[in-house]
Amino acid sequence: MELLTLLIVLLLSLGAGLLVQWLPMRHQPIATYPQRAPFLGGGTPDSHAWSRYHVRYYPMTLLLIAFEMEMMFMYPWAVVFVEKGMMAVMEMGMFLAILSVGIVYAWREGVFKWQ
Amino acid sequence: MPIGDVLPEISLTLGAVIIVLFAAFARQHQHVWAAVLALLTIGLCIGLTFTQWDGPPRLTFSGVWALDGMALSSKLVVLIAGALVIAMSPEWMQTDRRHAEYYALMLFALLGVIMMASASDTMELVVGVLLSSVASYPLAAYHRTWAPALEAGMKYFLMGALTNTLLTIGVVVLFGLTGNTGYPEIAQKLSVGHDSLALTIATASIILGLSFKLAAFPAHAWMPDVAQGSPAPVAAFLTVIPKIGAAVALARFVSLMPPDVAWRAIVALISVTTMTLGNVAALRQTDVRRLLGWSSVSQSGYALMAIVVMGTSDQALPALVFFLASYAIANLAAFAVVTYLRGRTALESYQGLARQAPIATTILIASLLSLVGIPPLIGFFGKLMLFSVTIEGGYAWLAFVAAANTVVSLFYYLRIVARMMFSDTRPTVHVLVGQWARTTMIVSGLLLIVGGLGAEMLMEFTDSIGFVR
Repeated sequence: MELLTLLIVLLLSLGAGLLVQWLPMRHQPIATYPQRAPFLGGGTPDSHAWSRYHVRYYPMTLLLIAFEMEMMFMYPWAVVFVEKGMMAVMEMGMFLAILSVGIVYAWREGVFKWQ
Repeated sequence: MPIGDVLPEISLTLGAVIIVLFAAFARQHQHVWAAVLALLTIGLCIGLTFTQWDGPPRLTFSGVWALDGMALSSKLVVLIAGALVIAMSPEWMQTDRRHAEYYALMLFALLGVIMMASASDTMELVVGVLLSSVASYPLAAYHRTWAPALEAGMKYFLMGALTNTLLTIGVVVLFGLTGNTGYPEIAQKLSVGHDSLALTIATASIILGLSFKLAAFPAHAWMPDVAQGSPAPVAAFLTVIPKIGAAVALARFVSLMPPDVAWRAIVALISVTTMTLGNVAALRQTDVRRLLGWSSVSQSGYALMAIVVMGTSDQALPALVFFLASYAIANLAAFAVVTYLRGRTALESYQGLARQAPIATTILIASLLSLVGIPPLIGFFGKLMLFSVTIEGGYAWLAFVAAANTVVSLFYYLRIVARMMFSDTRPTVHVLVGQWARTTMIVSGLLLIVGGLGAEMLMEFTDSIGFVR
């Protein structure tokens, strides 16, 4: 029953959103192409918006996650480190080892060279 | 933590990591040693799995990991099939710049499949499905400069993304219903009472998600493309290995359902549709790899029959594992021949092959006949067990449909055989130079016959396996 209520709420909210968009637009003519064309600081764009380009920072971002995640887990680890003792060292050692394999791999793939 | 219970999986992970590091530092011509490393890893993993065999069936790691007959036997089948795939690859991959990483990806995919088969927790299942999928996408598109391989990889990836999302949604809804992710707790909670609409949504989503890995009806469309476009050893991998894990995971999952959910009818319907669709689509294929892909879709339909009668027939689960194992050997043998023949794929180019390559032809014929289920090959015993449990479980109509389908499938398998045997053309045959693919082909061909002769012994081995309760 709750699911049905949720579904009705979803449909109502979607309908309201569409209605609000449709109401002011219903008597407007469709804009001409020059009005709809993408613009670039007043001039026309010289490349297509969907052209492919190299996301240079993407491998860097992935690598940041490899570093960042270590840091994120090390803070709570440092808090319980004294209680847990040797076991905590082992666990963090394993975790760091797994992540550093990723970093070594990325290094051999030449991610650190900014071309 | 009972680390000893997951030693086989740990050894597999470590082996894969070592191969990744090896791939990063070794020279291209040394990369073939990664195959040796992978085979050693799998050997170690098989040995460690055997040491777990005698223990009582139980759940470990707070109940998320099952160590029962089904998990262990399917693990062994997956590992042996994985070893065969790895052994047929080196010459095919030799010229690839990323030759060694290929084996690491294979081991990770194997690990994911093993997790699927052993998961006794919905989150564990999701992780297993994701791991095996993520490691398989790059495998399917390994020759990424070749358009068909890219198409196969893209199709596989898009369907996988959709169905894996559905699987996760199902798991979340099920968690919302029962407040738990562990299988025993879910079963216990569902037997008390449940919201049937939400349970239907959750079950449907999870079955859809698993049907992708199983290449069963609603999510089967990637299979023929992957079989045709991806590298032949990878096609061998993807047509066989994810299926084993997914079938066991599906069986484990639907066995939790309370009796008022009509899961038997749903699975029977998927089974009939899958086997009929696969066979009808394979009938007029003129591309051998694509034909094998469609035949593998129809074989998933047969495997689902055992899941339908689970619980009403006490031999259903052994029959499932035995059928999957026999199918794995037969399909791997067929793809080993295709690999050995450098991925020869058009049906016309198989004309008159019997005279030029007698051994490869013999093994291909044996594997195709085993897929149909002709004695004394191992496929016969797999199908026999499957049909007998289906009839025993009260689904005689299902067994009848499957038998009719088997007769239909004879047509397209024999079409390849006829092309090879009865033609006067003398094609030039190019084969892979070296011993890996050739030896694997012969070994899998021998397994077809030896497995058939030793079927009785294997059946005793799998006789009493089941799920832990």
